[in-house]
Amino acid sequence: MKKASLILGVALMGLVSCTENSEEVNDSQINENQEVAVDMSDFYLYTEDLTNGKASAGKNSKVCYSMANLNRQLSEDDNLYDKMFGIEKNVRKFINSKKPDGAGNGNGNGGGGTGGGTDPVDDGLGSINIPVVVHVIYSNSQENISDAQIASQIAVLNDDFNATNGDLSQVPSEFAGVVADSDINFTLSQTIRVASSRTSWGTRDEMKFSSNGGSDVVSPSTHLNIWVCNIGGGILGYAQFPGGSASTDGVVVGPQYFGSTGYLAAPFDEGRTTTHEVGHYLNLRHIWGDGRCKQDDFVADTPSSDGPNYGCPSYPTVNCRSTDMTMNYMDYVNDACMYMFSEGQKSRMRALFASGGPRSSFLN
Amino acid sequence: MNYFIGILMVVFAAKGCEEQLSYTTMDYEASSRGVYYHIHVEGDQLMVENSRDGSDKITKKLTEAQVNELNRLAQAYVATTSGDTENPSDAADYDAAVPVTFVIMSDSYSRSAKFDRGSPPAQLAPLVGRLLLLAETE
Repeated sequence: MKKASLILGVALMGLVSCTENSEEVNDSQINENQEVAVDMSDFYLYTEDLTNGKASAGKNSKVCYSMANLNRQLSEDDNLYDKMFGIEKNVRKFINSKKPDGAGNGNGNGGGGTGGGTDPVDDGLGSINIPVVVHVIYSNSQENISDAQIASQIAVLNDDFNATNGDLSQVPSEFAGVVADSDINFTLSQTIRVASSRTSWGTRDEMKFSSNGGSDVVSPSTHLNIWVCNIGGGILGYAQFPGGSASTDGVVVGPQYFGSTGYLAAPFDEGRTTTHEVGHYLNLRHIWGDGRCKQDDFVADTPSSDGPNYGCPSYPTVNCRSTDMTMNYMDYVNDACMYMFSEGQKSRMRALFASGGPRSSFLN
Repeated sequence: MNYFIGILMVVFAAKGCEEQLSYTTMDYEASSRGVYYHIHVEGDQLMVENSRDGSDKITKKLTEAQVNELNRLAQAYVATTSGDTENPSDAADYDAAVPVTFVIMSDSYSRSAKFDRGSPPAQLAPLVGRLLLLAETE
């Protein structure tokens, strides 16, 4: 009887014990999980080894993320990867060709140090003028922003891309030597207004097609298209990197974050959301490289950081053993706390307009 | 007497197993320019904040049934996911998505997952959905 009760106890304990450890998975679950993971990897992950030009797919996309972006578009356009690789190669080639012999390639800081300076170079392109088409898609009178609000945004772009912004003097001396006058000018070419019952447009480019109730792109090879509409989901604005589809080329910005006067929402009420998105449109990455310390934005004079800064950071803000350039337009700080592009960013933006570049037709 | 010992052994084993599988903390953070949403669960305490300075922090006490449900969903997620998950999307690189970092920890396991807001991995979706619902309702 004693033996029986002990055996019963042990047997019951076995039934409820931790043999089903949380780390253990039955075979069907493993297979299901692996299938999901593989499917996701095949769909999204693209990596690029820029040293030998080989493309590969795998788990390390974030580590070698250099050419991995616009995954939705990559999935929809098999040629986009090649186009973006070509653009990146041409940008680096052009920048290198304009540098004195022996200068570095200026593509990045390798994840450490202060980034140092980047000597201004004459790229021979002169002043670059970008005609702008603004599509205002609205569902109420506030979203139908005024001409004055649009004009204020064009003025902010001109100030920010020509280093004539009034807050430029706030740049700390550590970065004063790399502040760039990008010599890129914007002129309003056309305003298109479309009334819609739709109250939010998301980030899948639906506002860029009249067939969806939006507004079709206008001359994207020679014009910057900006769609002003409510995006939703807390998104202030988003961009498309060079190399994407011409039919969606441009940037999208919410009406409350567009311009510096009119229907605006603080602290994003000084037009810098559009400056930031146009930076992406002109091939700039986020200042922190969208990764940790060793992931770079391909610009030598912007110090490495391990993530975005928010609000209005105090100076100095140190990450990755260097001072963050928090006041750069490509960080995530409030509008009032961003006020510079760097020389390295200027070179990268302007290289797009060189012969053979994706935006060269703007100069023709 | 031996029956009693046997029952005790069963109870202790069951309790140990439960503790091993129970989450200790869960953390959900969605953060981008203009967006901040943070949920933190520690045991039966759930904290929600919409601002980075924590000025609007709200805490709630979860019921035993809610904790049990979170545990059940957490165990299903852990059982079908062998490690940390990177975000398969780069939409946040051009500001078209709000990136989320989710971390769950217990005494015996930990997992982290990164994804775009609104697009959690399939294995994690039930847990995230329930967590958001708990955070958003009284």
